[in-house]
Amino acid sequence: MEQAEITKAESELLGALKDRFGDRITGHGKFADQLSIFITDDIVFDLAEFMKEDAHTGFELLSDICGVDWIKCPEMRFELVYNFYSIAKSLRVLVKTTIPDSEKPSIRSIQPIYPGADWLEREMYDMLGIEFEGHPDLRRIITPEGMDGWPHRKDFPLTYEVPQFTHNKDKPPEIIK
Amino acid sequence: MTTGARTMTLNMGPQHPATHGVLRVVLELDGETIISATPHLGYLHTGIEKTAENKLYYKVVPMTDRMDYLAPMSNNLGYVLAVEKLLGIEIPEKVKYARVLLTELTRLNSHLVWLGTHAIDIGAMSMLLYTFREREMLLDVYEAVSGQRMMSTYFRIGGLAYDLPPDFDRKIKKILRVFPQKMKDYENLLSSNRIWIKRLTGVGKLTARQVLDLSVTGPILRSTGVKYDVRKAKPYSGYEKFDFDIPVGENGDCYDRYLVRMEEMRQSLRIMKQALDGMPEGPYKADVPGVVLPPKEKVLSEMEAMIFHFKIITEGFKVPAGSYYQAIESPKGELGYYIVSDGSTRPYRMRVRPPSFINLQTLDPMVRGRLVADVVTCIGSIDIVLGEVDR
Amino acid sequence: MGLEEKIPDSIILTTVDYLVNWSRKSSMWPFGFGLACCAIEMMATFASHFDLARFGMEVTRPSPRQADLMIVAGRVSNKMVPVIKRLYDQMPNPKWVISMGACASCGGIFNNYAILQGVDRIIPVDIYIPGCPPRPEQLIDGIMRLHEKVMKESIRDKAAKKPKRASA
Repeated sequence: MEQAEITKAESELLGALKDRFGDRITGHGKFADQLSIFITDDIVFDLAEFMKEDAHTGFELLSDICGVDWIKCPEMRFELVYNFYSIAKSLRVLVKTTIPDSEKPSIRSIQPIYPGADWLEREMYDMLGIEFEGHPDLRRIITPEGMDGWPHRKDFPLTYEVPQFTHNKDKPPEIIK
Repeated sequence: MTTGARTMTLNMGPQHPATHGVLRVVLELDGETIISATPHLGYLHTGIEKTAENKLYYKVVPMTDRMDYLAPMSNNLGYVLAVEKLLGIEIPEKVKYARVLLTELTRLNSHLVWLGTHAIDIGAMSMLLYTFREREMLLDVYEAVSGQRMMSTYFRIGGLAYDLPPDFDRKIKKILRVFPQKMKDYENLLSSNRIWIKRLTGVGKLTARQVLDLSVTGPILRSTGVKYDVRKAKPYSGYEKFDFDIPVGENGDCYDRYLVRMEEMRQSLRIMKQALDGMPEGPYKADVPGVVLPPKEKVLSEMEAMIFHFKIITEGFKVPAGSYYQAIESPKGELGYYIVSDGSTRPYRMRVRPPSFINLQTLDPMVRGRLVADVVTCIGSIDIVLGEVDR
Repeated sequence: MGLEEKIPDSIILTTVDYLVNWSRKSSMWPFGFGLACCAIEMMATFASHFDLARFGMEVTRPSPRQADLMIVAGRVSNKMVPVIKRLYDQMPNPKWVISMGACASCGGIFNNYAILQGVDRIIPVDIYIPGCPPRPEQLIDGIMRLHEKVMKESIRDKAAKKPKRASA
């Protein structure tokens, strides 16, 4: 995928981030006017604070947190994408980090800095089973309470029921993945 | 014997005439003053994001219709734009103008239902009948264009499903002629009505700082004074060519949100007029052989077109690996589609950034310290659609 | 000479079945149970363009204790199943159920872990209306068929189905 050009505002942002965090910023890429920055998962809280408060950045709006399950790579299984937007500069940045696979994958919560991350992180817990340390109230939000399993993981079956026609209407419905 | 204050827990259950769907709100009350309001969601969870991972790219489009079912065409637009960006295909000008026109029509549709249901919750029962009568004109256009009254699935990857019908101009001109007078009727009924003003001013007041912290966008953010609209900030599908204003409020209460949405309806009519006057001639689909279905006349006469048609329908098309986040301005706020592709014919992950889900976080700060009747006003003013909250 | 001439004008001859069924179908009160997109088409049917009040059904009761007809409009998710069962049990007899739309009838286009494949797995349904969403005219057609079905019922059969109480 070809890399697009980086604008002046984006290169200033990259410079400020590299000054503050050094080699925790593992890389960046740009595809069709969208900048993505890759970081390690231990600096998420400090990065969120930096993005909000610092004079160079000023990203007031956390648009979205998205979780992707890359089941084929266990050492970076869960990818979290934080979507920051700055209204004053009209600049959108995707910050991506990965969490390795384990019994209870966890990462620090950024709810104290961006209160809007409250329900977004609860949804990540509900769908992927990622625990957020420091979140005030981590419980399921969309699926029924007491449900077993994390729906958006790739090893959770879709539970597709084969429709019953005249040739199989006497047996109970068959469930396949 | 112990004395002390005790709070009462009141359940506004999933089945309630004023919660706009299956939303459950658990209220802690001290007398009649609210101490906290906790929404419980998930009663309409459909698993759309997980189902989309098992379907070919063009098969996901009808499912996106059913998320925000009051503004179905703008959901379609977000998904289709995201996939077209990943594929890197160019769209003809006529398609861009038609998409803008129909998306603004959808904004009118959604705001009319909001106005009708909000007013009937407050008590003005005749508004529901008036707005649904106007809505029949808009649904007439949907049916002329695609055959379906609500879930039209008219925007496809690469263009539109069918060409615009011959009486499209006449129908849109009728809407543009009739609507300004109807909007004046609504304002006469409501805007200076003493009961309306008393029920809405000062209720659900929020500051810009609070709203930005909660990641809220859309009319709620604009009513507090922040001028953020995705159509102006990051224009998509040709919006930079149109001339329109963004209404901004001052106080951040329910009355300001009402005024902001009424003004948005007028601006939508303005954009529709410009789109209709300036619509160029041209093809209604992009010409990309492996991705976009060829026109039906060619399929029935040429061999190559028939093979392409067969391959696209049965196997689908491959999208290059990568990820993209496309944001559009839906009537509820910023609707975003983040699509991750791994190079195959099915999306690896389709994430929808739901504006109603995130806007619902403002219910608790809005109703603290107020009375029970204000909960109904605030839920109506946030304008939620449960299909999008639960997906 | 026919019987009609012998009967004075102020007497009406009928059967109890006919009278009871006619009164039940002429003012059936719906229980507004709109869940998703079909609920908007149901609201459009109640509005002025396709008026449902001409069939005596304009009064939608929000409480199940006061309603006769439950129109399940929309997709039923697994979290909602105990709620629907409890609401159905709270409705007093006689009651009828219309399942409106493809998702309530058979699961619709959503065939996955979260959606119940048809509301008839938990409550008995009288009329199924297909469509996604069905047009208001289709909903009115379904309601008319329900009225025809009600006219054919008889109180004796319904009484025979009632479980016998234990004698004191």
